[in-house]
Amino acid sequence: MVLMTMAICAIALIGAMGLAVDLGHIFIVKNETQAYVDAAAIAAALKMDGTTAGITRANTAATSLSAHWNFDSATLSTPTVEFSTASSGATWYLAANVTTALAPTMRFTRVTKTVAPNIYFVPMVMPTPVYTQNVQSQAIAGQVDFAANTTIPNGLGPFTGVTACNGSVTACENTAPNFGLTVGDIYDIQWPQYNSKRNNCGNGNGNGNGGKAINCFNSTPCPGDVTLDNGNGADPMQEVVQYWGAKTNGYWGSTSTSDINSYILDIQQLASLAMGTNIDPYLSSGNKQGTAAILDNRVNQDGVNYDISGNSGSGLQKLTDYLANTAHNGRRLMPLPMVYPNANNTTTVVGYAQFLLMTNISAAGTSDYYVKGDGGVTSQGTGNDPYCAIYAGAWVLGSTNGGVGSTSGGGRVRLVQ
Amino acid sequence: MLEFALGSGILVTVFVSTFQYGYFFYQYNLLVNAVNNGAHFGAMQIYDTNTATPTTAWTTAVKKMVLYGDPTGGTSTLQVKNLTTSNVSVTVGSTGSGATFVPTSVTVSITGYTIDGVTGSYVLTGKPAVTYPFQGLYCPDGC
Repeated sequence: MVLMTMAICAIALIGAMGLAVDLGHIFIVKNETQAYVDAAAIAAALKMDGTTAGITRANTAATSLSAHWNFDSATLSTPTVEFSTASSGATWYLAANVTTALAPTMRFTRVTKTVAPNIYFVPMVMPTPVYTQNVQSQAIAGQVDFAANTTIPNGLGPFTGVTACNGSVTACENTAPNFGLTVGDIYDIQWPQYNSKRNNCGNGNGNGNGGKAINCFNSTPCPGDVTLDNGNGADPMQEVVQYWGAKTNGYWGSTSTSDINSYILDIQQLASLAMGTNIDPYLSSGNKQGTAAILDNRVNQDGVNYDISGNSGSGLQKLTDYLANTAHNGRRLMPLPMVYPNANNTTTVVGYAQFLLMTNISAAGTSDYYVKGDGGVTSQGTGNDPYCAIYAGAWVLGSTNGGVGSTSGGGRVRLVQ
Repeated sequence: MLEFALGSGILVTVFVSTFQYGYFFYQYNLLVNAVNNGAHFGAMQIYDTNTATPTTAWTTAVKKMVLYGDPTGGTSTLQVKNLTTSNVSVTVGSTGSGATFVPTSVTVSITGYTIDGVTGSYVLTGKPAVTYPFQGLYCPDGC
């Protein structure tokens, strides 16, 4: 009798303990796959840059990441990757369904992976036994904008992008994330030498007397800024001439040769910045002899330090080729503060952007574009030449491409779920 | 009496093995969480050398994150019993070498950690392991 009672109790006990073992196993599997989808979601979110090509790269980054589950014994790969405009409440699209129109709005990525670990004990007490249990893990990561009061202690290069916006800082902020610039166009990150004595510079600030801002430089500014020059004070060139003049050309790093490496290669900053910071006290005319060679060094640290389309290719072509080449490692990209020179002694930081540094070679080799001035785009270089770079869109911390961008043009990738 | 002897023999075995499984699962789960935290933290840290061998300070911070859930930890409680820095392996994935070196991922795994049990022990080698894509600042000359 006792034996029978014990036998019956034992079945119940074994069932309960088996449940503990199966559930424990399922919890471990859940944790392992969760770590995987978290990492995959971050990998994907780092690649989104507002284009369908970026979405494809994001999809590849997530699906090609591999990890292991079931006590590290089975491989995890090819999760489901979807994209959306918001972390919740919006439609999720597979990469193939993200159209050119949708791509610039995609800021979040959701990665889902379902695995089916075997269960051993629970089926024994099931009327219709099922020997596996689906375990689904999901993570959402997105490019989260830097808030206006986020202070950036390092990570920005010692040059500036000048915004193309008219009137006030508020108006300028409203043109984020691109601040009037066009992705793929070539802009000044350091302006050519200002010279108020040149013919047709007008009264020294480009205005009046038939003068034009473009005539106030010893060398022609970069093509994107020339295109934007409309002579009515609403363009970067006019503001640079009017408020910067001979005082500065957009450089805000150290002028000491020994420090320039850390400013350009290690993107250490002379000062912490936030949106709204007046960068004017840090601006200087710089040390072109010192910075040119280091800029070229930075370019040459990239696996893709060349433009396959050659010097004659458009900026957009060069940017597209660079991003599409899987050998690129992001060294040619430099995040910079976007500034708005809005008065004498006041140049306000209105956001951030990523710029692709230029090169003058079309195959593997060593570029000396910046040492040679502007590499022959408009002239063969002297100290008067500008430093040009291709605008690559918003800046995402740690990314090797541009970003989608929102109100500050800068952000970081965060797991939101 | 005989029944008790027979029954208890089976029951004790079942209880002990269930405990063993449960304890192993519990420890393994803690380790998965610990390496996940460490790898995620490492991927967001400033990487300040141009080789795949990180600086001691960098590695120490990541290992402490695994051990204590705090990169400056040392006095706080261990997250997993008896886990030491020598059990934590940190690997930096990269592309290029020399001047073109760039870190691309951070992998944290557990090696040589023994999970004790009543009837025996199990040594974990190279698992659990978690890899995160690198998303921090890269500072090749040292920051």
